[in-house]
Amino acid sequence: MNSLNRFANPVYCALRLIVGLMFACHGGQKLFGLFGGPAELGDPEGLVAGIIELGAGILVAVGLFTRIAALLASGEMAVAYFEAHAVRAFFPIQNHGELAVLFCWAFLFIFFYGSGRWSLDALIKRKSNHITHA
Amino acid sequence: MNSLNRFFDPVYCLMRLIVGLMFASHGGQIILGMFGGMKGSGEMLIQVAGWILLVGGFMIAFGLLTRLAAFISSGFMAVAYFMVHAPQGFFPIVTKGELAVFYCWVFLFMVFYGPGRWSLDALLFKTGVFAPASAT
Repeated sequence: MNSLNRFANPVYCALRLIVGLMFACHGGQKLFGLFGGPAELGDPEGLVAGIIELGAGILVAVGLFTRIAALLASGEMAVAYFEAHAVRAFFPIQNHGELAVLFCWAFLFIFFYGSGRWSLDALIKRKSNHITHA
Repeated sequence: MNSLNRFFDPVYCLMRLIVGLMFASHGGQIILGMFGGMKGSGEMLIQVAGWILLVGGFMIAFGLLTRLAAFISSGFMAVAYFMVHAPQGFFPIVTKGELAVFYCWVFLFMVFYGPGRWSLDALLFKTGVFAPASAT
């Protein structure tokens, strides 16, 4: 079944896009009150979280500075999990922290895996390599 | 920053473990009545869903027949999203279907990516593993 691996790159790109945009939605909710959520601009922690979520989410989605953005996002989700969810119960299914855990691990994986071939990072690198070789 | 790529196999293994076990805990809720149980778990459809969640989750967690388990779980999550969440709106954040979307795409990636080096599949079948295709 290894022939499936030929398609891992486009699927990884789609995964990055979907996960990044869902993450950015939370940032939009916190900063601009989109999607029915109240904006949390008054609370500095909410403001920082919103900026990270919107910025890092979009950067991961398009694959620009992917690793740095993913590391920030992963760290923020880890903090969110331990601050808001872990104190309530041990299992993520009971403390409603499943989404935070998923985001945290997916971004950690993206941090280690890199931006993949289908991303702005790869595009920029290819272009600069082309120029230096020419 | 390519030196980071040396560590992505263990990280992938941990992600599979965590995501698989969280997926399985939903099955445990339906089939075994753990974590407070779930309403309406007597229905046929919910029972089938529960077994997919429980067995698929554990197989993904330990990397046994990973691609097959991930394919079934991913398809199942897609059905769940379109049956339960999609009619309520377009954005997952509004329809509360974010978890379903997340599981669906992570498992789809696992179908194409494979079990990785740190898995029962790699241990039992000695299959060739995919090299990272990083650009940064």
